[in-house]
Amino acid sequence: MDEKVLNILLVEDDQVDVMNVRRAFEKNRIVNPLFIAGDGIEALEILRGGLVPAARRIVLLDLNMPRMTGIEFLRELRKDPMFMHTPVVVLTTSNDDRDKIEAYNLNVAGYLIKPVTFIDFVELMASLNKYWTLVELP
Amino acid sequence: MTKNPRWRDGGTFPLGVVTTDADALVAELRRREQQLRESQRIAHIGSWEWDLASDRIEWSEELFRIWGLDPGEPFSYAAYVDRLQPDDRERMQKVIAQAIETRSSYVVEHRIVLPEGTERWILGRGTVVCDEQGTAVKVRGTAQDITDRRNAEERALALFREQYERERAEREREELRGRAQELATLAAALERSNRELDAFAYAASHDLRAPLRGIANLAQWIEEDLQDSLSDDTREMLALMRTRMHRMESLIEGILQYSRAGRAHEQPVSVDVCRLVRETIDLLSPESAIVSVQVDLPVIVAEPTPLRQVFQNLIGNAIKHGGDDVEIDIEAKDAGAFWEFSVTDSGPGIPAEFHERIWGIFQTLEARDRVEGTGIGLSLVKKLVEAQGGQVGVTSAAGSGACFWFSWPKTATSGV
Repeated sequence: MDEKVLNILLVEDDQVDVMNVRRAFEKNRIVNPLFIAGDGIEALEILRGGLVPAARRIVLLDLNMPRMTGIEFLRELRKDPMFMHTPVVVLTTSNDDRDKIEAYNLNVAGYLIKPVTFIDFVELMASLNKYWTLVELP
Repeated sequence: MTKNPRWRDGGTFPLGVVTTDADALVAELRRREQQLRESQRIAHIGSWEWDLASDRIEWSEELFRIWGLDPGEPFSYAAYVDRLQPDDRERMQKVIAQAIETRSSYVVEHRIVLPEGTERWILGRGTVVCDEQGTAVKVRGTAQDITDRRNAEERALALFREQYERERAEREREELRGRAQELATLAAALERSNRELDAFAYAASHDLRAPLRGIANLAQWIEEDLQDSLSDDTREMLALMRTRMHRMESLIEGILQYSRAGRAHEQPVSVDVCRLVRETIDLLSPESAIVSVQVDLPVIVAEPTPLRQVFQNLIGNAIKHGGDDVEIDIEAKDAGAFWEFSVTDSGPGIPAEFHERIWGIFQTLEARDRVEGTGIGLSLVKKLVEAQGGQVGVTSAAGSGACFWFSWPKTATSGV
C-alpha cells in the first residue's frame, strides 16, 4: 500500500487526551506526524505560521476548550481563504445536538464522540487514520 | 320602662272650657270625643283602659281598627293575649305583670295577628293607675301601628346585610384570586428551579466524565508500562481502582439518566410491551435467572424510552439481587385508565422497614462491594413513572421475594 504521509493537527487542551491519541497512534504503529495545539488561538497561530505542512493536512478538533472553543475556531478558520477547505474532524465528549449541527454548518468532515475505553479509542484512531490515508486531498 | 308619677283615680279632669249649661257641655264633650277619634285615626294610635278587678278592657274605635276587629264589646286580658303574635306572648305578659307589680309604666314593641292572619307591629305604651291606698286598679295605655316603620327598618337592614355580604364575598374572591396567583407564581418558580437542577446535574455529570476517563486511561497505561515490574499487591490495587472508576462511571451515567428523566420527551408511539420486555431481558442477558413473561401483555401508546428504562431497572434489580436461579414473573393488570405492571422475583425479599427508603436517590441496601449498584435505579423508576402520572410500589417481606409494581397510563397524555 502506498503510504502517504498525513499531517495531523490535534487541537486539544487535556494533556491526558493528547496522550491518549499518541498512545493510540503508537499501538496502531501510526507514524504520521502529530502537531499539538492547546486551544483554538494556538491552533490558528500554528496553521497561519505554516508549521503544519499544507499537503495532506487534517485537523482533529476538540470542542470544549479555554480561550477559544472548537466552534469559534471553526468560524475563524472558515473565514480564512487559506483554510476554507481544510478538513476538520471533531473529536469531543459532547453529545449535544446543537454542537453537532453547528459543527456541520461549518463544514466539518466528521463528528466523533471520544470512546469511553482506551481499546475503543485505539480502534477509532486506526479507522480514522486508515480512512484519511485513503482519501484524496487537494 | 319609665316610672311616671302615679295617677290617682277619681281626680278631676280638666277640660279647659267654661260651660254654662248641660246641653252645651254635652255638645262640647261630643266635639272633643270626635276630635280625639279623628286624631287617633290620623296617628294610627288607639287607646285602652283595663280594669283589673273586673278584667274588662275598653278599647277606642281606632284600636279596634288597628287590630282588624269590628268595634264592639270590651275585651278580657286573656282575649287580648290571645291576639298577640305567639312568639311575643310570654314577653308581653311579663312586661305587663312587672308594670302592675311595680306600679310603673312601659313602652314596648310587639306583634299582633289580625283575624285574617297577617301580622302587624305595635308600639304599646301602658301605665298603671293606683287608688289612694296605692293599690293598682287599672292599666291605661295606647297602641300605635308601626308596621310601616318596622317594615322599612327591616328592608333597610336586609339591604344593608345584602350589601355587606356582597362586599365580603367580593373581598374573599379577591383574596382567593391573590392566593391562586401566589401559588401559580410559586409553582412556576419551583418548576424553573427543578429544570435548572436537572440541567445542572446534566452539565455537571457530563463534565465529571472527562477527568474520570483521564484517570482510567492513566491507570491502564501505568499498568501497561510497568507490566513486568508490578507486584501482585500493586496489581490488585490497580484492579480495585478500575472497579471504583467503573462505579463512578455508573453513578455519573445514573445521574445523567435521572436528570434527563425530567427533561427529555419523545413522541408517544404504539409500544408492544411484550416485545419491549423481551428485548430488555435479552439486553440484560441474565446468566441463571428464569424469567417468565405474561403472554398477553398489552400494546399501549407511550414514550418507549422511559418505559424501557423502568423495566430495565426493575428486571435488572431482580436479576442482581435475586440470587442464583431466581424466578422472575412479569405481569400486567387492567386498572382503569392505567395498566398496572409488576415484576415479581423469588429472591431474598426486602424487610418492610426499607420499603420507603429504597425509592430515594443513592439508597442501597447492600454494600457496594458486594453488589455493584449506584442507588439510582429505583429513584429513576419513580421519577419516570410519576412523570407519566403513574404510581410505584413494592410488596415484599424478608425471605419471601419482592413484587415491584407500577402503573402506566393506557394512553399517553401529550405535553407532559
